[in-house]
Amino acid sequence: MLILNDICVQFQQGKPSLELDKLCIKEGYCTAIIGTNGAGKSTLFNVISGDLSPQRGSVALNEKEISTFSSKQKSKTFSTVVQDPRQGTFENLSIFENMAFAAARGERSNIKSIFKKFQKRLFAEKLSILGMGLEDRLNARVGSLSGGQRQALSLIMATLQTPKVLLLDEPTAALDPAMAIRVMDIVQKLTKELNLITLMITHNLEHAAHYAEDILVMNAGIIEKRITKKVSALDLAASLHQLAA
Amino acid sequence: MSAALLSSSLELGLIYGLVAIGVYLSFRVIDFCDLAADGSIATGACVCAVALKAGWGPIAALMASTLSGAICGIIPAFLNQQLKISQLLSGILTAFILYSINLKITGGLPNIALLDEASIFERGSPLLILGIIYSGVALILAYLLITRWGLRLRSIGQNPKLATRYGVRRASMVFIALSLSHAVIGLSGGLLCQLQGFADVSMGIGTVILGLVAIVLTEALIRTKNMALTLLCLGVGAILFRILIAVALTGDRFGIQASDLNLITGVMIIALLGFKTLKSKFSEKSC
Repeated sequence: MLILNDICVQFQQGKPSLELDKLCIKEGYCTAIIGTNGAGKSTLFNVISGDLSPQRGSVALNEKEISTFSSKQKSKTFSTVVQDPRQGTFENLSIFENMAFAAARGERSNIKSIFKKFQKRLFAEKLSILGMGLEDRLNARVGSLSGGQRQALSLIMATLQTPKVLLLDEPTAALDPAMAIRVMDIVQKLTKELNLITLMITHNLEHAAHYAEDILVMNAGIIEKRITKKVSALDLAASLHQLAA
Repeated sequence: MSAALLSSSLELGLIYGLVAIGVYLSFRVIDFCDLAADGSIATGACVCAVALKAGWGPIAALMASTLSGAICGIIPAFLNQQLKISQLLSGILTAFILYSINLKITGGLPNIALLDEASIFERGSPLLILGIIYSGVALILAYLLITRWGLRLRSIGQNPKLATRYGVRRASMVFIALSLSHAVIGLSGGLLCQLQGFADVSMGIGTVILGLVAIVLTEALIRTKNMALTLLCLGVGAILFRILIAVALTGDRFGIQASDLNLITGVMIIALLGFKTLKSKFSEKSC
């Protein structure tokens, strides 16, 4: 369980960029964060991942304060997938090397060769979940993949060493609709299978309505509404419109 | 081209192949534009000459050159990572500082001639010895690049933000990579000193360019993005460059003189890089 308690972040004098009393997020659920630009979504992400220390309040994961985590612990606990697929992978490395890099997250580096037979099998198995045939192209340069394939690969990389919290920052914004649905299906599957706490910033209200069990509607640094029952994208659009008005 | 000239081109090519490996580690592997090689190769040579004069054995002198190079590598890493000075300026400042340090090493002498001192090349054919040293260094470093540690090292040059998110400490990687890079360059300085029989405090001028030309030539020849493979083949580019220079300078065939060396080198790099750009522009248009 991720618990944010009495958080306040203020970048400049005046209104805080983020202010919330208490927020609890459970494992195995996908939580969508929606809101207009400047609503505080990214600030909330940065506070959760420990990249930004709030002026007030605390963030705890399974009753352990995140501020006490070492950088190694943080990198093992939190995994992020960003909007641009090029930022989530190494384009001049092969798919295998990208996977090998991700598999070593949070572990000590050593001078043993990364080319091991059992790892190849493991990576192929993980990539087969995507159904994109990447498991047969382990030696291909990531730069030769399409945006959707790269985003799917970055998602697999992010969950290879199972994190506790998966942070998705507009993961489908750069993808075509069909590929976006495919990536979101994988997110849903991984969240359930690996019992992750998944938080997703999105402007795609259909995805928020369809894939998230919990929706946080943010405006001007605060969570205006929390929706835990099934709603339609139209309802969400109406909520946002109401807030903007 | 005479056999002696070919042999000398091969020997110098292997030594500058080591320089190319050092330059490759900083410029390509960790994407750090480090110009300090001009200073550290001379440091390696000066330390080697002083050690030999002091009665050290040739292998011990080479080890001292390597160590001195590794220490030189810490300077640009510190300036950039700790003091946040730009990469280019960190390298230029280091080379600038090393000139004075090299003079201190040589006891204020601009050069040291080796007369009766022992040399590693007395033990056999210089070409064979240099071939073994080059292959050993290239194989070790190419292997390191395909280890888990090497993958982390490459990650900071490819996508530093992602590398950091995965827990790679960029600063410590830059320190280690630049130390390794300059250790190899220092070793090549020591070898150059023992091969030519002297060390000069200003012998490093243009070293980075010579390393870069070998990299560009090798990349044009082997056309792969596999870093370990490219690193293994850098000696080929360096040797090819030396042979081209030797041919150009032989017997006034093209009216080129030794003083035109920098001009030829510069034009060659511009031609290779320019050709790459023009080729990609042309293929874009034809699409």
